[in-house]
This record gives sequence, structure tokens and C-alpha cells, in this order.
Amino acid sequence: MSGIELRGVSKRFKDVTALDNVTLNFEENKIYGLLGRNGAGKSTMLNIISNRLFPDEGEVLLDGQPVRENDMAQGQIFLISEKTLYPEKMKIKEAFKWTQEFYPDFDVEKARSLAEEFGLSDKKKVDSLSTGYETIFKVILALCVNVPYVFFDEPVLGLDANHRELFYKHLLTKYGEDPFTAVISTHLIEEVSNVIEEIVIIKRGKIIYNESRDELLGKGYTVSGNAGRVDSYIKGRDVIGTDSLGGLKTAYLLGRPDRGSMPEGLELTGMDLQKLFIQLTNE
Amino acid sequence: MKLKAAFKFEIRDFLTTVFSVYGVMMLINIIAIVVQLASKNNFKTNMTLNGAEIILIVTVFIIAAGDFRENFQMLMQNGVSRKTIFISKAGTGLMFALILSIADRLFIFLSRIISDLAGVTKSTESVWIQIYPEFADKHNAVWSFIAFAAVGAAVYICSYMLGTVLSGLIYRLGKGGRTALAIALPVTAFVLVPLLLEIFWETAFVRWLIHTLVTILGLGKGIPYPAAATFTVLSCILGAASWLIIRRAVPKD
Repeated sequence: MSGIELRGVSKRFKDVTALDNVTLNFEENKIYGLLGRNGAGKSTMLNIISNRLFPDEGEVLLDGQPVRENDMAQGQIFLISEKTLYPEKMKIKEAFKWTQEFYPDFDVEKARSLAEEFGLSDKKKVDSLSTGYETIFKVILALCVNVPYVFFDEPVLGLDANHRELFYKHLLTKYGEDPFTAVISTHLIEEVSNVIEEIVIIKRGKIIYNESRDELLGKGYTVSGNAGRVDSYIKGRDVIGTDSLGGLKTAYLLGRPDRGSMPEGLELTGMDLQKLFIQLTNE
Repeated sequence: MKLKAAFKFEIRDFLTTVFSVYGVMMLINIIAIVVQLASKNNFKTNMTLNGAEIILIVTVFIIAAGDFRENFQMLMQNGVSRKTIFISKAGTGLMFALILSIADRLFIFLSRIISDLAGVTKSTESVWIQIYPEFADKHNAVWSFIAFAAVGAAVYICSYMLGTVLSGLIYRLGKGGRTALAIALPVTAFVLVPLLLEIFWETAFVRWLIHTLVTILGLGKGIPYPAAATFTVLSCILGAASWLIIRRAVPKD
């Protein structure tokens, strides 16, 4: 099987099971959203794929080859994470130069151009960057590294709306020109839902959903209106959550709506990804 | 590809630092010569920079000890395996050991030439000649050069590996471990060892210890070969220790 394959991967930190027998495949040339609540296991998974952590059980393969302690495999993978692992006193332009040493296809000119577009001076040192600009620095590296598998762990942390839009624009442009596999782990679900094709939802170390965005969103719908009418409608149906405000109620249901039997006064809408995610991952 | 890049990254600042130290030592030499020449009552003062190699040995240790965290994390970020990190570190240590051991000999040779030209007492003396004076007297310049370069190289790589092991250990330890190490090391070196030596100085164990040290460093027979072998073996042990430290290390905050 091509792509990155996780087979039975488990990881424990003392009493906490961060990943529990995860089996998953990241296919070539797709944009994935890796979604999960805080502590669900997203970063642990990405760190294991990028050889920063070792799994307690299972293995990760890239085109059939183990990625663990494998320079060749790791040469096709790049991860940006919340932790900045670059030397504090390193200048941005030096970081670009050194990234090219390790990843020969890294486009230094494009990186300089993006730095200018984002307003990042390449003469600055890593430790002098604000949270937002540290994120921008890492995002630029990820957008210019030109490897088949790029993992973005919280790529919009600290970015203002303008910079976030710029990031998504450049991500899609790059994807359009030269497809690659991008895995984006983020809490800004609604924003990223327009960018991602595939969704992986992780809850307490287990994969609970691994489907295309359209398939996942097609799984459910929302009914809103008078609380009493909503209650009668949802009887016997697969309800995954409800919100109430005064006499009004919104219910989130799995399945396809029967438009013919929709009572008057009730509004039927599609499920949005964030709401679906919240309902699926609520304790 | 990753190994070459990792190696380049490890050595990036090493050369500058080390040759800056040589520059400072040469400056001190020149100052010593100038002071002798400028001496008003015209008597020859004996100003010698002894044991120049010791400064470099300490410098190598400090460089190796100082950059573990930064280098390890940068290499992890750029997809370098721990095996490759270890090889690049060992390679860096070996390369510098060889370069510095030869550079030392050339530095001392150059210093002597400058002293001779200035007509003053030689301003720099090698620590190895001071430790093994009979060997230097008995053998020609070429063989002395090779022998002292060999022992110098062994000591340099041992110093580098020691720095790597210590900094790796500190990196791997938790906060409690680091605190314990920070207390234990100086207390052991400056309190415990002197105290034990004071108490047990006259014992058979301490006599055995001294005898062993004299033997493995070739001090009894005045030859540097045992020291070269000893420090080489120590370097291998420290190298193995550094691999055990690196192989399970992970990026940390």
C-alpha cells in the first residue's frame, strides 16, 4: 500500500494512553484534517510518524518501509509542530539555508518571497519572533520544503485572520500546482473545512471517523424550531446532540432527513463540521 | 545526504571557536615576547605559556557539552535519525581530534620559531613534552611529533565524547535528575574525592590506584603510548555511552 500507513500503533505516557491501537492510512496527494480535542492524541501521532517519538506497539510505514530511524523515509516527511526545534539564535535566512541542506528540494527563493509577503524579516533570530511570526516562519518552511508528506500541527496558532487566509491560499495554490499529502491538525474546524478533503477524527487515542468530508457531513443533518415540535420529530431517531435556548431547540441527527415527513415550522439544514465534531467528541 | 548535512551542521561553529582560541594563545605568546624584549633592565625573564593543549582540551569539552540540545533538536526537526546524529557527532569529534592534534604541534613549532627569531626564551611549551621529557629527548622531532599528536588526538576525542555524554545525560534527565547531577558532580570532585584521598592516602587501595594511573598513562616509563591507548579506550566507552543516551532521546521543551 502506498502512502503513510499506521498499523496498530499504541503509545502510553505513564498512566495515559495517548494512542490506542491506531490503524490508519494517509494516501498520496490528499489534504487531510486531523481533528480531535485537546489531549486526544493528534500531536503524539504526528510525532511518531516523524520519528520524534517511538510507539510502544505497532509500526508506521511509508510505501511499505518503516519510517522509524529511517533517513530515506524521513526525507519524504516534514512536520511543523507547536514546539520550535530551531536554535534560538539562528537567523531566519540561516534556517532556510540549513533546511535546504537537509531537504535539497527546499525552495529558498520561494521561502524568501513568502517571508516578504507575510511581513517576516529573514534577518531576525528565532527567539525574537512573536508567537504569530514563529508560526509564520514554520508554515513558510512547510510550504517550501517540497516533500510528498507535510504535517501541520496547529499551523494557524497565533495568526491573525489575514495571515490565516494567506496561509490557506498558498496551501491550495501549492497543492494545485504540485499535489502532495498535507495533514492539518487544528482546532479551527470551520475554517479548515473548506480546505480539507478527508477527515480523521481522533478521540482518546482512538480513530472514531476516517472519511471524506462530504461523506462525513452527509451523515447528518440539523433540525431547529419550537422545542416541542423538535422533540416530537426526533423521537425514535438517532440524535447525537441537542442545544436549547428558551423555547427553541436545535437537534443534531445522524442519517438522512425524510423531507416528506418534516413538520411545518421546523427548519432543516445540513450539519456543519464543527457542530458535528463537537457532538461526536463530547464526553 | 542527511549524514553529510548533519555533519556540516555539527561542525558549523567548531572551527571558528577553536581557531579563535589559537589566535588568542598566539597573541599571548607575542605579548610574552614583547614583554621580554621591552624588559628595561635587560635581564631575560622566563615567560612561558605552558600546556597550551590544555586550553584546547577544555575548549573542546565545553563546545561538545554546550550544543547537544540545540543540535539534537535541529536534526530531529530535519528528519535525521538518531543513528545518523550519533555518527555525525562521533565523526565531528574524530575530525577535530585529528586536526587539533596536528594544529597543536604546528602552533608550538611556530611559537618557538617566533621566540628564536626574537632572541628570547621559548614562549610556548607543549604539555606532552612537560609530561614526557625523556621521550622527547630520546626521539627525533618527527617521531615525537607523531607520538604526541597521537596522544593529543586521543585526549581530544575523549574530551569531546565526555562533553557529549554529560550534556546528553543532562538533556535526558528530568528536573530532579539535573539538580542532583549539578550538586553531585562538584561535591564529588571538590569534597568527596579529596576527603577520601586524605583519609585513605596511606592505604593499599590508593597506592594501587596511583600505580595503575602511572602505568596506564605511561608516566613510570616516560612514554606516551599507554596514554594514547588509554584515552582511545576511554573514548570508545564514552562513545558507546553517548549512543545509549542518544538512541532513545526525544525532542523536549
